[in-house]
Amino acid sequence: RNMATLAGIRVDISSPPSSAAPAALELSGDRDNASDQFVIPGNAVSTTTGFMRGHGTFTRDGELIATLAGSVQQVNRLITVKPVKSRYNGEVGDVVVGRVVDVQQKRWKVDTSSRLDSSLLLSSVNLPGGELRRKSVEDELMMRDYLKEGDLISAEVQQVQHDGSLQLHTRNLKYGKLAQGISVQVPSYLIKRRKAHFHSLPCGAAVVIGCNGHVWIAPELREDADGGYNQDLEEVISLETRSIMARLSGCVRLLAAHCVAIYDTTIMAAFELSANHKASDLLNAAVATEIASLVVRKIRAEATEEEL
Amino acid sequence: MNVLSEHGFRADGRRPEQIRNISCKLSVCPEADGSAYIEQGNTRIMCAVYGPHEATNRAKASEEGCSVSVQLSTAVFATLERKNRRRGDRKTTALARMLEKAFESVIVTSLFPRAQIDICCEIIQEDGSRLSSCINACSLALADAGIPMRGVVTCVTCSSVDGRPVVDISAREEMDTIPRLTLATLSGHDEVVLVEMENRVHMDHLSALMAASHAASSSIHQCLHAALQQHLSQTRAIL
Repeated sequence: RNMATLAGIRVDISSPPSSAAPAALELSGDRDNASDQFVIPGNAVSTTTGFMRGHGTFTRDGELIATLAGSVQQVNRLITVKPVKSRYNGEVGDVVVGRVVDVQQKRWKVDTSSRLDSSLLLSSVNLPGGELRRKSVEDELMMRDYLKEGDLISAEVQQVQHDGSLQLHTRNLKYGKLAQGISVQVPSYLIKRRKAHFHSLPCGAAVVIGCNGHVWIAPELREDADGGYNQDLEEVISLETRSIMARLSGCVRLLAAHCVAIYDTTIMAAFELSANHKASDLLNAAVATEIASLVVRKIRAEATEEEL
Repeated sequence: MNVLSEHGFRADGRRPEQIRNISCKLSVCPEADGSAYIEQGNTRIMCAVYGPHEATNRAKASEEGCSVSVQLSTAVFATLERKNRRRGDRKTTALARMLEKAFESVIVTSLFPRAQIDICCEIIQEDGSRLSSCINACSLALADAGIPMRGVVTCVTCSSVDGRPVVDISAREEMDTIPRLTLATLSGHDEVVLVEMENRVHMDHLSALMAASHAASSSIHQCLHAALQQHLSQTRAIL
């Protein structure tokens, strides 16, 4: 039915005044009008029969109905609804950054902003002394010495359990406990899955872009042979490095506020394009919108250049 | 005071079958998984959804599906007189339980075993139909959080004056000892999620009242649908 037929009903999307940032990019024409078909829960996805029911749909009276608010995607006969925004949905091989919330028997529970807490088994971590070290009863008793509640770690998803919880592993020197740095949390749907999620950026700092929406900004990437369990929190990072990290965190936040996908290229582009502003000015809504818009244009221009 | 004037208009100038202006905004609270702010006339509600996340209460965690818990609170300055309300008084708790029941039946809970969904609702300004406005706000916030539901729930509180249905009543109209029917439907269709009746209504007037409530609920659904659609196209990831 047409909205005009409803006399006296009006939809104003005016207040509260905050978080108008996504709309700002809309106005400047940076958001292309892709032909995505958007549905909201309860909408019919397709009326014709012969389709397979995928995630985000259910059938009622032979009709396929959406259960999520998002875009309809079709692969051959399988129809799914991909939510525009949702909690982190883990996949095997994802790099995640999470916080240890519990130490249990032979495992740590890690909060990865997934639907359930993820578990990191004692048998799937690298302990000091090499990969082939056997895990003894003493190790079980010393678990809290390696990782305790509140520690931030980077890990990889090893397995997705049938109930949707994730099993992590840190069997690689690049994974492990994180020491000094800034943790920025953004919606996980904005993170683009790439080949590499650990980046030493040319600007003089490093980022770990967790697929679960945790972005870790650190002075440098470390590969400690002892599994990174020895944090050095006394070490003073130079002011120069700290200001670079602060600018990077501002860039990640402004990209997230404008719903721009977050990966190494966009972060670096935002960092370079923000050079004319002070790092603290990135909190200013007008400056943030300007930079986000410039980033989108730059990446688009590079993409079309590559095509040519 | 009469609810309907001699010319058939209400105190705020609406016709009996006319709902109040709706204005809403989604993703207003960046910390939450989904959030919504809704204004229905002068009633203003803010709602935030957290989850599904690991159940904090082990006893409540079930292998069958997730639990839904609702917290409802009213701001000190929400009504005409400034009032410090205790949290968890009987009336608010009853409303919160009704919200829980309504949304437990709509959310596809079986997908999230051992998990929990928290819904926090704050009434910022109260001008009648608070239960229905809370339900509308929660629906938007849940849809924003990407939680699977069988449809978007919309709710409306209606009354009957001399056999004539009056929809989406405001606080001034609620004062009178008139019957009040709160009806929540799914996706603006006929499926009823929640019905609540206060005071008494004549049997003969009930069917007209129900029909008017259904119609009003489906008009509200169209408003929420438009707001959600617009929000979706704006927040999709660029690049």
